[in-house]
Amino acid sequence: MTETKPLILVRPPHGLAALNIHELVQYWELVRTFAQKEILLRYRQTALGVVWVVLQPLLTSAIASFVFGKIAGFAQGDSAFFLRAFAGQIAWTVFGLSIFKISTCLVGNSAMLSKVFFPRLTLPVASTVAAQMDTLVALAAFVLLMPFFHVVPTLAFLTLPLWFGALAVMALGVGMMAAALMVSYRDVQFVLPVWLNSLMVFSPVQWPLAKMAGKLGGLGTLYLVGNPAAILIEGFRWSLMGGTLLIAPWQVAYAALMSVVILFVGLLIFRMQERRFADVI
Amino acid sequence: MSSNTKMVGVENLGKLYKIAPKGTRPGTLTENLLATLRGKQPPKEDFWAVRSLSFEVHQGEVVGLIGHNGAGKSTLLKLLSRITEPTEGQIALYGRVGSLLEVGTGFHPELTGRENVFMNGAILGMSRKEIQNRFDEIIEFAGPRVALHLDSPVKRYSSGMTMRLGFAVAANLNPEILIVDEVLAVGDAEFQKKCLGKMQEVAGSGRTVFFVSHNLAAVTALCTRALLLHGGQLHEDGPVARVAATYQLMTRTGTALGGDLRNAQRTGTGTGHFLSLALRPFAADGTPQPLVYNGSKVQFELTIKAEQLLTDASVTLWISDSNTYRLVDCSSALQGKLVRLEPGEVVRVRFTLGELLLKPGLYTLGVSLGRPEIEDMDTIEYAGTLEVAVDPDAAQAALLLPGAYTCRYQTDILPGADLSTGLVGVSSNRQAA
Repeated sequence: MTETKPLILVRPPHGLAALNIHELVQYWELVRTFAQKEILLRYRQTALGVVWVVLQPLLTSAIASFVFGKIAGFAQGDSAFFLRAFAGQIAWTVFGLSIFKISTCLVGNSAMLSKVFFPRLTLPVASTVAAQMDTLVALAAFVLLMPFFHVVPTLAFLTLPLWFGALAVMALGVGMMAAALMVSYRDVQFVLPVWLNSLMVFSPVQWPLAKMAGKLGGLGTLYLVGNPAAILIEGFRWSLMGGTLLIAPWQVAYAALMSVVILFVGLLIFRMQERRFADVI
Repeated sequence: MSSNTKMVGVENLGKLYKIAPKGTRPGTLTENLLATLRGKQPPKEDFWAVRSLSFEVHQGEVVGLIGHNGAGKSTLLKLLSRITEPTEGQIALYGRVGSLLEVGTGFHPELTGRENVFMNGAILGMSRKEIQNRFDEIIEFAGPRVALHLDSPVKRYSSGMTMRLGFAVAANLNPEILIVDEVLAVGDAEFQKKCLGKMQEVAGSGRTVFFVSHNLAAVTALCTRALLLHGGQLHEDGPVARVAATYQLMTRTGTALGGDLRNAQRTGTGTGHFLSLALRPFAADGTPQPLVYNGSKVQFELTIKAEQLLTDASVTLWISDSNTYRLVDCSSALQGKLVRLEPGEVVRVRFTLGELLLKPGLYTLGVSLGRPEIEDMDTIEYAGTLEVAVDPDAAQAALLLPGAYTCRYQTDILPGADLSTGLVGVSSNRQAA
């Protein structure tokens, strides 16, 4: 009998499962395939196809700039208010909309989860990749629109990848929690849209932070601590639009730290729930 | 065919499911949170789907898994293919695992056939290029109909086509360990044969196959070794014919062959009717045996009761295959034996078949009482099931052949040439015994 080391050793999981990030590298091809699949499927059987990636945030921004800009009067003296709203909307695409897409990655693939093995972590990561592809398309549209509003990119533009990255990482963390919980509790799919909607209203997505921060003082700081996503969204918009950054460096550091913490907690919850997916789903 | 290289090592494997007791429903998030806060978890019962399983499988072995529904076959396959994690014990896999559990494994319904092939390859850990290299082989195996619809979403495929593509992908992506569950349930006879052939080829090329099917004849034909699961435990592990025989005996335990016909679906005037059908298998030497084997002596005994005066009634019994083709007919009239009964009288008619040459498989029994062409008194199309079991002592190779009968015949291979026919070479001579 030849005694060789087994390729794979299957054992009952103990305690906190190892995070096994290396599986992601090993299965990068699969992540790519899943992401490709998601992008392909989202626009299959639509008449306008990928145009929706740009059209959706554009329409939302148009409504937002009408409601907040014209009716609420925030747009006074700001000729680029629409573009400002569009920048916020793109930031929301990075964060809120990706959370929503990631949250269904397990339930939506239940047929596969119960039939074949592959590292489960590939699913939320692929969802993130797919969701952020949308963002890149929307960003390209943004750059094309800039000249029409006489907005010139500043040095702040160089910080865009940082805000983008931090928001995407935070979204992945929250998305993984939602996805893992949704396996056992489909309630999540009802709660999540409501939660995301209120989060969007309470974050400076469609209205500028400047209008609030100045009025609230200390309370404003408390608000930003409670909603680190708001810091990142405001930073994201600042990097696109230039001007003065209304948030303090320590707040930025805090938000970045929070996004890593949220990613880690999300990963942990996902891993702990993972072993139950095939049995429960 | 098999070598000594270990491919799968299973040690003391167990999988525990917590099941809710009867009559409860799954809790919502709030309910469960509240229950946890109050420290009152809803009661759960333990259910070991498999337990204390230990076995080893070597390179080139084709292992059949047999057992009743709920014996733990599917759970074992799920554990082997890593879809679910074990509660105790361990599995060591010495190669890549490709699994085909039920129809359309791992296919995304919205993706096209082509896209699904690539996705499944990626799931097996293959690169795009590797898959591309095997692509034509896969499509050719799946057949022309699948090739035609390669760019339609899989959701529009028929179950047979999904199965074809699924099997083609699983078998042609060259996993070292191939797990196949019930592929023969869907797909036509031609494809089933192709699948069996492919699995043999896979095993022949030194890879390992796990095969689950309720088609015992197929398991016996394909596998060299079988594991019999019963109640989540390994009941027997050994040569396939021996294990299959144990399984067949287990299914028979406590049930008499044949049965009561008083409540059967029937047609006829009811002048007379069948009360029961009994079936007694004997070995060739006349000793009773528990199962009907190919070549057994079988006795069918029909009990008939007359309601009114019965004159010159004939009794017929027939054996049909799963396609309802009548294969064997026994008629009392043909042998000049007619039934004459006073009202209320009961009689037994016994047919003895000297040598039942049907191949292992399931057959149905039909019975009829009446005067041919004049009156149908009682006809029961489905009077019972006849299971011809796999004889542990018989050769198994013939099971792959599609015919219903195996006649006892002799093959002679004669040396040299027969100059009188002008043919040169080896001629074979088949004789029905």
